[in-house]
Amino acid sequence: MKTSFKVVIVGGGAAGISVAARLLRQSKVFGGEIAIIDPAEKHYYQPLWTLVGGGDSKKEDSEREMKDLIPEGAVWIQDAVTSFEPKRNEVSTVHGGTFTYDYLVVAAGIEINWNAVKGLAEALGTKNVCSNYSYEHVDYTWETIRSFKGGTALFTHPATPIKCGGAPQKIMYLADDHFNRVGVRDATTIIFGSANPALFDVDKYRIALEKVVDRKKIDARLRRSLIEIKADEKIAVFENLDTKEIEEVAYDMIHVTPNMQAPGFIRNSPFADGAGWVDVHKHTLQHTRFENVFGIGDNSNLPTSKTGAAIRKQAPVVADNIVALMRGQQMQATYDGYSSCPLVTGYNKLILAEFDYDKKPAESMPFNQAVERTSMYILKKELLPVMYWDGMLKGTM
Amino acid sequence: MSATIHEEGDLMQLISELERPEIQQSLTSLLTKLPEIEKSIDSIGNAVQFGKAVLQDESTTRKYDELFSSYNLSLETVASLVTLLEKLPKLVQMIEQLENIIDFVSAVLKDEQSTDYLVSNLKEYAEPFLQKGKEGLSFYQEVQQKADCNPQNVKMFSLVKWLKDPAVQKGLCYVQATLDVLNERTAQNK
Repeated sequence: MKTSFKVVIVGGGAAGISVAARLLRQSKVFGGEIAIIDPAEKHYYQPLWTLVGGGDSKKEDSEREMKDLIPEGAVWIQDAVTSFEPKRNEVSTVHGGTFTYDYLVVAAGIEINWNAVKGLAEALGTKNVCSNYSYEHVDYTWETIRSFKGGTALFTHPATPIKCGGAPQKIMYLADDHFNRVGVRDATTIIFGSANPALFDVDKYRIALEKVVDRKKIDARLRRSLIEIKADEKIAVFENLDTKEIEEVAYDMIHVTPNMQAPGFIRNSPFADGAGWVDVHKHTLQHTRFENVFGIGDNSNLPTSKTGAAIRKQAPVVADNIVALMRGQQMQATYDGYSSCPLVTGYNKLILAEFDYDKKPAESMPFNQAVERTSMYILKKELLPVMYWDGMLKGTM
Repeated sequence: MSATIHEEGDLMQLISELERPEIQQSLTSLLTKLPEIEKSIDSIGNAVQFGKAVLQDESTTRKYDELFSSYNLSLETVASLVTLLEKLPKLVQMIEQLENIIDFVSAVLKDEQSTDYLVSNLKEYAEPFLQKGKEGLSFYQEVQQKADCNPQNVKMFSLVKWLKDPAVQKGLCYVQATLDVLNERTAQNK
């Protein structure tokens, strides 16, 4: 078995596969010389889970076999990385493998910490405690919303970086829309408990979302971090991040966005910054200390929103810069912090937020994307999944 | 007299130059390379001879002349070639984009799961329109069937009965309203 590669990519998610596909398109020299290390059998298109939880998509459409997605010319090592030895250009795995590289791409994604909120792991998927952040339990979100007969519907956003920062709100807006459709909205109070200081980081979209929240009569409580769920009593315990006071909120259903963190083997590696994320240069995506190492996607410490759209713009930068280094040239490709969040505000309504490091809108469409539009909802539901599977993961988009 | 002094001065300068070790080293190196240089000069001479021979060979020059004249090569072509070379970086960029689009479309068409996804969702959007179309068609078919099965003549009594039908009344009201508006407009224009 080959153990030495020109490029080793840790993680076969959106970032890892995109970079591999792009490198293979750029030069034949990479054929058989790229290893993707990932233990997962399945690969998920997670943005669809919002619509699955809202009853508007099937979760099976978000799942594919990993073996079908590994680009031709790349070698899939179905194993999990345990440690890095950057001075020897080595990566070690659970099953005792050691692989060496000329260039390393760290694209291991983000880890969900279900245990950070007391009582959550035990209650998830039962007693009206649901979350769209789990493929296993995403169906239960729709079951909970569909069978809701009124009362308090509680939605949360944690005090950690998360993947797709708009998702905690999207499912809330879909739930509100559904409650209206089935006539239980008048008997329902919707509360949004968010650890963030605002509904959105970018002013243009924050203002638009504040109007949505007002129109939908949602009680938005900011700077509240969920710390415990008492599922039997249906009580959620929040910490007020400003006053440090503990607040209990009674609910009839709760959708939880769990705390997230960098994967353990990254947090404890030489690549991590103080917070555990891969420490990279924000424009070149090259590691700040190891010049043949790059970080991309959710596991990096890039100061932008962690989304698939961000990865779509980061992947060509990583691929181009690796090729430049290989050829002994200056790295030219740069990343401007672009990220995007299709903010679903109801069935058939969506605000397409696009922005950069400066939190300035970087919109692709020739119209004001802060307006709720059906066309953008169709884009999210129908076209983005196909663009992902057949464009982004093939290295063409 | 002055010319002799000048020549002597030049000679002295040359001798002093020759005494410099780096010059001596260069001369030695040049001398050792002389056979190689001679060979190269011979090769160049051969190439020049070959060129002359080709140009003097009328049948060969005629053949190439005919070959080139069969192409539409001109100064304009050369100018275009240079322009094209200048534009190559931009063209390469565009070709790469086009290649990506073609590869994406090919990938979608080859991907059964994606095409199924698109087709099944398209059906969802088309369903309400298809339903309306089907309703219209069944209405027309029912009318057609009844008309075919009812060979009796329409009598004056039937016409009077029709007039009481709300659908006919609504239609007639629409006709009446149209006539009223038309009359008003005609009166205004007079």
